[in-house]
Amino acid sequence: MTFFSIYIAYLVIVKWRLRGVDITRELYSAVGAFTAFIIMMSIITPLLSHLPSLTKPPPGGWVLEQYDTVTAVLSAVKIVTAIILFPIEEFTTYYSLSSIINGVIGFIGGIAYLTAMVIAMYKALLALFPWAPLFISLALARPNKPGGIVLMGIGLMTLVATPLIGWVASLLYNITMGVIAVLTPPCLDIKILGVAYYGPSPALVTTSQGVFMTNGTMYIPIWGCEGLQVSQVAWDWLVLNYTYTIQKPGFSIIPLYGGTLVIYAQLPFPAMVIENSTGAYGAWFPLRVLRYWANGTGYVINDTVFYIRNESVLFWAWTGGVGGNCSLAVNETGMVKTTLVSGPMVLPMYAPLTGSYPPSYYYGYRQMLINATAYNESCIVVFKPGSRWSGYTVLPATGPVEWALAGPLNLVIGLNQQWNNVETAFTTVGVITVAVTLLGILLLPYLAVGTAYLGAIIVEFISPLWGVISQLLPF
Amino acid sequence: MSILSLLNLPFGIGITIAGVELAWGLIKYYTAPTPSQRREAVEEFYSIVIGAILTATVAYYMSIGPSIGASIASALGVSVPQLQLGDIPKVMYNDFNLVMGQYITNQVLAFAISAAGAIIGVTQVLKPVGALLGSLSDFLSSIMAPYNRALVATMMNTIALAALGQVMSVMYNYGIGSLSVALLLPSRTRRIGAWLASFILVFSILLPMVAGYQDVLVFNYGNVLTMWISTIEQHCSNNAILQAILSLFLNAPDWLRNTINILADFVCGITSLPWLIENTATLVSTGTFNLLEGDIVIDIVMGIGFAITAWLADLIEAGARVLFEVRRL
Repeated sequence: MTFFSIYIAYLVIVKWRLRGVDITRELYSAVGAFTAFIIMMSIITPLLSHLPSLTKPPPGGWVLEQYDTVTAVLSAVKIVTAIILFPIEEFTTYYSLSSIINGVIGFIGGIAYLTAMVIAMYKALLALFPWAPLFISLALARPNKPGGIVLMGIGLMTLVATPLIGWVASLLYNITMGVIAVLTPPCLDIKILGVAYYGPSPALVTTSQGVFMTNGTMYIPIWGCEGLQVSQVAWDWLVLNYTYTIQKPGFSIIPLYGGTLVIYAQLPFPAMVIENSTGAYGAWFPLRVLRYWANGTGYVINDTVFYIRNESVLFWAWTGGVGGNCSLAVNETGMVKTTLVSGPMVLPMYAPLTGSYPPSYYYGYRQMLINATAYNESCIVVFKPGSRWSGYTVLPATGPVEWALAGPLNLVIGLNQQWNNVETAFTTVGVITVAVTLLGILLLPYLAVGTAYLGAIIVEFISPLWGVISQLLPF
Repeated sequence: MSILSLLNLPFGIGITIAGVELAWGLIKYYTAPTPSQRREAVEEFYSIVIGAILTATVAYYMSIGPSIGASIASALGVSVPQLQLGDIPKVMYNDFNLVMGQYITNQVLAFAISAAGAIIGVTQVLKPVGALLGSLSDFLSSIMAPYNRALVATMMNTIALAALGQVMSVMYNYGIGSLSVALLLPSRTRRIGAWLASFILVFSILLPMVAGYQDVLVFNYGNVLTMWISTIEQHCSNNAILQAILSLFLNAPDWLRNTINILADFVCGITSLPWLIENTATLVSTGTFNLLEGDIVIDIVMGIGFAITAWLADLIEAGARVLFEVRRL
């Protein structure tokens, strides 16, 4: 408004009155442009109210800070992994984990940088926003010239794109923070805990920070800020009785070392384990000799066979079945609690990286109380093996490792929740900004003719009035 | 600026041409056989005076551009140093060096640690140590990735500003500013004169302002890596074990001692992980975002500067046409 007032005043006072130049055409154009500007702003201003309002820019530094935090912890997991895998010669696991983590870092790095850049752009555009009408008015004053066209583009783009980019910035911020939030680690403190296990092996130890098999596990990574509780120790799908303690290190030059987890576990009674080199297939135990006749005897032949003569023996068995050449009274029992196995909480495709785990469900097993009686005869009691129980931990999927390996899944979940918004945002902003800017620029040269006619009509309309006013002017 | 200081302004080739023309005018005046030829010589003399005033005005305008730019920036709430046009390339070069230095140091550090890991990892026994160093290298690369991108954007800006500064400084030194006004007089050179005059009018103020802003940005956020390493060093200076180990290498060659120092600092940093992560995240993210925002502001402002130059050039050309064209009635 000020610009046009000065421009028209200059034309009338300096050019026409003082220098006596014929300003008719220029005055028509200037008044026309002024009117076009008012009309354009009257159209655009209500339209602006339909665009998203100018929100406060989201904190871009915070996005990068969160990115750096997640990235640093993910990288620290790699370091801890390298330390844990120290005694193991094969490093396939490390390199696989490293590439998974690099993928996550690369992805969130890209999205965090994009978000920070859009926020930075929004902040810059926000500073430019109040000047947009000035650019448009400058463009309208000289609509046919390249400079005018560029200024019109800048003005319109600023006017339209600022709220839209602000909206996109907020949206991207929410998306990125949503994605990062699902990845955010419980804390920044990572520790390594030594593991000492005494009991039937391999056992599956379930803790508050993940699971691991006792075979192959010397150290487990944990979150230092969260205490570690052992919630279950299982062997051959049987829940063992256990006690555990965490022995703090007296002194360590490595602050990452958090002490040793010592676990003692056992069945309610000593058991004969059916096993071979591939794993365990059950267990049994002669609980009590119920009756004993003259020269009665009973002893173990091997891990599936028990010999009795002139005895009645009560067995507990966790096997596929039982057979014998004497009287056997078999009753199902639940003396020892059984459990289903849930492996590490990581994507199934990553589970092999962490080691091998027993199947979730046992099959072919019966828990029995067997009364075998052999009076005046020899009896062979044979226990049938159940399904195989085995496992070996390569990399314990606990605490930070479990978190890192669940990262890609969390990422997908986080993105899925937001993806529709992303698509809508980019399409809307792109189409509206480009359309309005192009339309404004393309129409600008035609405005030159239009504004001249408009100006002529207005000037001719008010010129009688001007005749009266000019008489009052002292120059 | 006093009147006498005007003598310090670079009038360039303008003063030579003016001197020659003035001498020619004097000769013409004293040797002219007719009054009309003598009047021509006087007119030539006047044109030299007007030219001199014009030259001084434009050169003066260009010389005070940085202070106008600084005042405008200050009014907008940004404090920038006043960079003279001739100093801009040098200042931008220094900024570029600093930023490039940070970028290269980061890459070299990451590469050196990774390469050391790869070399050590060749030995089966030391494979885990290799993996450990590889992780350390990835750690450095990952947390610095956005910052490195911002550094690249800053480098591009400093190069562009240095180039523009070079052009403006040549224009200033050779009196192209004044020449551009002179080029407005003949109709054949009016367009280029208008463009040059417009460019000088806009960028005499805008360029020092933007370059100053860039300099402040680089000063504040261009050396985050150095600050980060210093912070870790400072933190680890209290670690007695580390210092004891480092003292073993006091007589080692510089390159070895420095390498061990940096590696030891990183390892020390990793051992106090929460502190390292918190510190890094705050320092790096603040530097990255502010650098990025500043770069975008500079790009937008420069774009607008060129648009206004184009717009003003049209205006100047039209104005010059009205002023200097003889209308035949």
